[in-house]
Amino acid sequence: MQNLRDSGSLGAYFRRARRYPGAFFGIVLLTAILILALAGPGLYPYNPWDYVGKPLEPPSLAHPLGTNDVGQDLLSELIYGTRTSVGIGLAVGLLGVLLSLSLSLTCVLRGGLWDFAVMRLVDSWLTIPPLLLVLLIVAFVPPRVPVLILALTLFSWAGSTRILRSQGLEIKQELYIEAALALGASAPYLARRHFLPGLYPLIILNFLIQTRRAILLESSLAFLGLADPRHKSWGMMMQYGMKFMALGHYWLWWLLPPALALGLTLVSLALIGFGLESRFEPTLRS
Amino acid sequence: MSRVLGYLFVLIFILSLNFALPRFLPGDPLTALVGEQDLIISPEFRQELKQRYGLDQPLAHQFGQYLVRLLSCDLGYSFYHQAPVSAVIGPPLRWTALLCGASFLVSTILGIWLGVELAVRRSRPWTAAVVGVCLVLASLPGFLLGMALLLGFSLKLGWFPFFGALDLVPQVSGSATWGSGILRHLALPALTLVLAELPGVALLVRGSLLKVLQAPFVLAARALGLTETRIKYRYQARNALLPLITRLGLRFGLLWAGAVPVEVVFAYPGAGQLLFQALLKRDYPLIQGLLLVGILAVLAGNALAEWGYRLADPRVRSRTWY
Repeated sequence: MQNLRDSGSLGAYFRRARRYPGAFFGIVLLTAILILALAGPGLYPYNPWDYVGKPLEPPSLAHPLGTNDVGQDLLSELIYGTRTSVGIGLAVGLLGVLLSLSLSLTCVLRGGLWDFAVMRLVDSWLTIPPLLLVLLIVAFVPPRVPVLILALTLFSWAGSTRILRSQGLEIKQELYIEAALALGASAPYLARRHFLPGLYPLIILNFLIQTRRAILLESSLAFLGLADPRHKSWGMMMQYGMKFMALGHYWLWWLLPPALALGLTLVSLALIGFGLESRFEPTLRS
Repeated sequence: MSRVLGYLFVLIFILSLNFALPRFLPGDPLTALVGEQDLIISPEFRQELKQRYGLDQPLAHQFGQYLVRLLSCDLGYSFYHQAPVSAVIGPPLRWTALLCGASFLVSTILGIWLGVELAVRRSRPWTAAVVGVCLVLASLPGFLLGMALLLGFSLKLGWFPFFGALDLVPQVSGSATWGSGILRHLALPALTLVLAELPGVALLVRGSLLKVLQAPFVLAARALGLTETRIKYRYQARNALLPLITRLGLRFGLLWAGAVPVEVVFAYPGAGQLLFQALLKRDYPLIQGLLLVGILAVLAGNALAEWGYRLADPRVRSRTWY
């Protein structure tokens, strides 16, 4: 009873968060990164495309992370890159989860041949390695940001569709669904009133998974030189920084910051996801 | 039957994508065949090339021709390398197969062992830390790990070579040094892929093993007086293996794709490195050939894994084989 009463208050929230230190850490980290991405344009000291210093300057007060080989400020590049990398990831996560949610809900509610067809498609879609096919597409279609988002979404929906569908089928067995059906509830009503709330934690989890995978794939593509050249990203920064890796300590301010930023973003998403998972699947908790 | 249909569908999808993409290029598909550096060719030669490649024929006919050429293992002609694609991709594919095969084996075996230990000793404090490390490693892209290893062990410590797959100066004294050269070049890229791949396996095995730790058949086995090792691997882990085997093909595909950026980091002369060079030079026939072969290999791997699943799980074996 005690728990129920103050479960909504901030104090209770933090008490619960303590039980999942990883997830809590992840949320704090992710919030910081999101703020960085949103406030980006106001934060970076220089335009990341302007030649504001001498080439290959080491860190100084004017350029905290030094400059690159053409004299562009690296800190500005890093902050600008947050928006590209995280933005593409979130867009793919959102689109992908919407796609898999609508597919899985129609599968559960309509069943029959549609369900069969979609699930066979999912099975075979999962065997395609996404990186190879996205590589194939962006080798031919110029990798503008919308193209990247669409290409990455095209290969991210399948796994989530399967997970959401199987959970949806379990919900469908519940008595309250039968009751609602007996009262003449329509499919859209069922989806809105019963399935969406029931699937809610899984939706969040799959959103996180898809976002993480998209950020990872985008960074790999950018690292291979297949990103939108008009939007600097972390992967692109590392691609250029890689060439100066063996040269003195340049990796310290050129390679390490974007690598850390990318790594921390991915780890924070994974931590939140793992926390959610062990919250809903207690056998996994150690 | 539906399984076979699924693979067929993916195959047709990929082949048509491979066929259609060059036709989306600005200009005409000839750009895709000869590359952008050769655009300055006389109109007559252009016409001749078009005829030779059948680009003046209707699309359906072209698609048929494309399939026929594929069936005879003709992947096209790389104008950059001045050689047929199938000849260009041969040696690099062998290096990639070595790299992926080695890391696949090591990560699977070590991953199963680690997963079993993590599940069985779940109450020890160190397992939580190891699970945390696994989680962090599993969420990082391979090229990031690769760069860290390259920086630390090759550039700073100098323990391993930082590019290539063979010693540059061929040693006079035969195959032993030659072999050790291969191993030393293989070590870091393989370690990168293992580090990227192993945590996923371990976490998967741990997750599915935790569900059967208290199962009645474990109690029965213990009552029979079997040794703990036997119970662990013969009885518990066998259950945990099932989800792993269904993912074998999938994992092989991810490993194959993950090897691309890793080979670029270590300048390993495999298919990934070749693909990177082809992308830089816009050598479209080579890009297509490499990716097509890669994807087909992954599809074949998946089909094999499904077959293996039947061997491992008697409950599935009784169903019809397709």
